[in-house]
Amino acid sequence: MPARRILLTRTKPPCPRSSCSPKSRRPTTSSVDSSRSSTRRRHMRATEPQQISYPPVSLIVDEAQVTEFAEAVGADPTLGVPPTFAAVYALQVTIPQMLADDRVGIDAARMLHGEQEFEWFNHPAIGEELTAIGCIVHDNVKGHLRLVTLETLVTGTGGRPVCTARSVMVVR
Amino acid sequence: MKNPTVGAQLPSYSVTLTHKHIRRYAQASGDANPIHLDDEAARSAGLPGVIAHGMLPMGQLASLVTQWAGRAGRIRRIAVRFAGTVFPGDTITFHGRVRSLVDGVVDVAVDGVNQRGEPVLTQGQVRFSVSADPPD
Repeated sequence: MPARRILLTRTKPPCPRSSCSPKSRRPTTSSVDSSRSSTRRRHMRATEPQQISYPPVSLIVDEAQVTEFAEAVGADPTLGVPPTFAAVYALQVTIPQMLADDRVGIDAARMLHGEQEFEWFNHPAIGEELTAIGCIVHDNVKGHLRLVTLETLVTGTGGRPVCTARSVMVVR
Repeated sequence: MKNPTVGAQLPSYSVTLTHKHIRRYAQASGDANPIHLDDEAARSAGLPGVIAHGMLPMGQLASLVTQWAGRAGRIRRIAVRFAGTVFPGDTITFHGRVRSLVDGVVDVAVDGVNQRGEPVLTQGQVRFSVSADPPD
């Protein structure tokens, strides 16, 4: 695996409260940024080598998808959107961005989920438009494993906070 | 959940994960990584065969927690470590014990073990409100 390792020294405050904050990054409905923003990110890495952040992505909480997810995890759909539907509106948004990032160089087949934390401020409603912003906050080697920590901040209607997700991915 | 008390054991839950569960979770979550779906791909990645998504037992745990809490909207936080690999056919049992109860907010320690008693989900922490949904 031609991993191009990002060397991290000390982390700044976790990204949802710093560089990935929606206050400093205007959400758009586009999932792909132009090469101009890559240039900007490279420039940012020169001054902030600790963090890589990804363009915001928006999606709508789809009722059929929620129902399918509830069935898949044995949730009672009458009790609300299953909490870990965040796997869809947070993780499945930002993890693919990270995996597609040659600067990070992770082979998906060699990646395992090590830890996961979700904190909710408001749970999303069916039909609500959510915006997820991902940020790599740690990238360390521990023994023969590489541990990459990705944080995802999710906001909803009117920018209300929905969820922060912190994922520790283990690369073998 | 009515009147939880500190130290109380919450109702536990066991589930056997099959290939079908894993395929259905891959479809529902959008995580179609071949290590969960294709034995050959899993083996070429150095695994004995396909493994479950860690998020599958975490999602099942969250379903149990939602039953404890009464509504998904009351859940404030869920955190786990994926300590052991889950293979098709494994039976996972989830446990929870109330750690603290302050102003209607309950903290519960949770874990998941497989049929051999090996830890699957460890250091699990769950927080939910018992009295009211958080304000919108």
